[in-house]
Amino acid sequence: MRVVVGKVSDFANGDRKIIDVNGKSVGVFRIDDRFYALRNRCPHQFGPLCAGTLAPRAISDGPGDVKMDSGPPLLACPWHGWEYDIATGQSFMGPGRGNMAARAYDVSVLPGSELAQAQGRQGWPEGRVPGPYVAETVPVSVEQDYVVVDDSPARRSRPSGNEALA
Amino acid sequence: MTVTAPESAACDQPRARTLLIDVDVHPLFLPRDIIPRLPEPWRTRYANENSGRGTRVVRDYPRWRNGGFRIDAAVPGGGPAGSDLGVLRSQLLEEYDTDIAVLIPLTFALEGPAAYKAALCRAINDWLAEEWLDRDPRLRGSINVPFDSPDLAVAEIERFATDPRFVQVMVRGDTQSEWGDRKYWPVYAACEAADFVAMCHVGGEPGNRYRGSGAPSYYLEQHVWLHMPVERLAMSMICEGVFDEFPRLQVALVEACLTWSGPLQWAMDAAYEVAGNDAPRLRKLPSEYFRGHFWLSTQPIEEPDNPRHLVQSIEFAQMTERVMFSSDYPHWDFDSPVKALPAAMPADMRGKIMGENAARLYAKRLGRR
Repeated sequence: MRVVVGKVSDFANGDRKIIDVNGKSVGVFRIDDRFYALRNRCPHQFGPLCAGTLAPRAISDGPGDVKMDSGPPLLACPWHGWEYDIATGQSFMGPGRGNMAARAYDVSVLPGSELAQAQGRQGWPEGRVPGPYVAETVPVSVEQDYVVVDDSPARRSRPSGNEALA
Repeated sequence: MTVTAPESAACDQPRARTLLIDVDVHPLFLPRDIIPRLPEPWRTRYANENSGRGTRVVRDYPRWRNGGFRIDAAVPGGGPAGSDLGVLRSQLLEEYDTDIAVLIPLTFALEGPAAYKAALCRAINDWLAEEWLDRDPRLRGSINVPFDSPDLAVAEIERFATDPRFVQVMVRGDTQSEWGDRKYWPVYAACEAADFVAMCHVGGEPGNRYRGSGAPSYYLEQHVWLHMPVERLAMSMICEGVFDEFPRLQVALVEACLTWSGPLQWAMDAAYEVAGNDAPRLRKLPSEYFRGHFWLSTQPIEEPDNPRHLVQSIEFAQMTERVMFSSDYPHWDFDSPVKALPAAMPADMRGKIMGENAARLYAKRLGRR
């Protein structure tokens, strides 16, 4: 199901829209000149993930040295604050738990993370360690002046990712 | 077991799904709710407390998530989370098809002269009854009382003794004496006489008076230690003979986690075997008192790497019949009725926790509505 979210010009930098796609609530975000789409459901306890706070991740090599890492911003669930890479849906909180305990959770492993690696990303940015959860990504594209999300199964298998340039 | 269905959920057909009773939901009162319900001179005192430097809040340690609230629970158009019945209905009662939600209006600070505290409790209880309990039959209330003035506390309990909207009395976490102290016995007597559950929900009391050394440095500490004061509460009430005097009294320990209750029972019983005559009021094993009088709630649910360990901890404690689901709506650590209990939990235990146990605990009060 293809849904036109709006014109590119409807989105200022930092804007988000939460829309219904095929009965699913999906959040579409514009960050700088890129669009991202994620299912509006946190894998932890099904909180409305896309209503959460967006922020870069602060990293530090030592006291007095603080910078923002170069990865896509993290989206924090408005309930418990589990944080997700907005481009891949990968969580980076609870590092290490994902490796041994992922099966104990209702984890949804979806093409977003595989796509990101297929596109040449080796490992995660700046030493991030994946956590136990992966939020569901939704393909988004820009067609002429319009932002379009597509939730059809065929579309989801194509390596378009949930990231699109304005 | 029979359960009195709340009016709004009363269906023509019998319900096939699991009964859902949420025993920890927090409505939030604002000064605008309290001031008109307070007589002078307390109205002026309360207004002064909530002006100038603003509402008194705990500043010992910052709550790490959104001031302690779900972001999405803020009232559209303005208003803090928990202050609007419509939002609570939509996000909790209707979202999860909750049968009964037990409202617990927290008063982190309750300080001042006894008559002021009594007037404040009375105003809060009236606000709860009029603005919430009267407006939705799925809601039940908890009575705030000036716990350290037992005569005034008893008067407030008796004011609601026959009121079917209320199901329990709030035992404060910051009592000036240990909870088993005889000075509180009139409060327990009033609870027992009216079939009110005595419920303790510790949390953000200023300075955390229930710990002699004061507040911790970090919210992380406070967030996970809530079982500590209520373990003391349980031991104090058991050892001081409260349950020998009030054999029908039932105590709910809300938002205090689960997994400690087995080890506490083991340790108390082991000590009783070698030193039982040190606590001469005890007439049976401490664990028997515990399992005969205490109830626990699930939130914030412990999430061990192996979810079966949570199930086992409830089984080890022999508390399968006495654990009740709680969401803590609208706080940041809200537990979802559809996701909080691990998939590894057996269906019969799940059904008991989600509603059957609470229906049993509160049966006499629920039956009055």
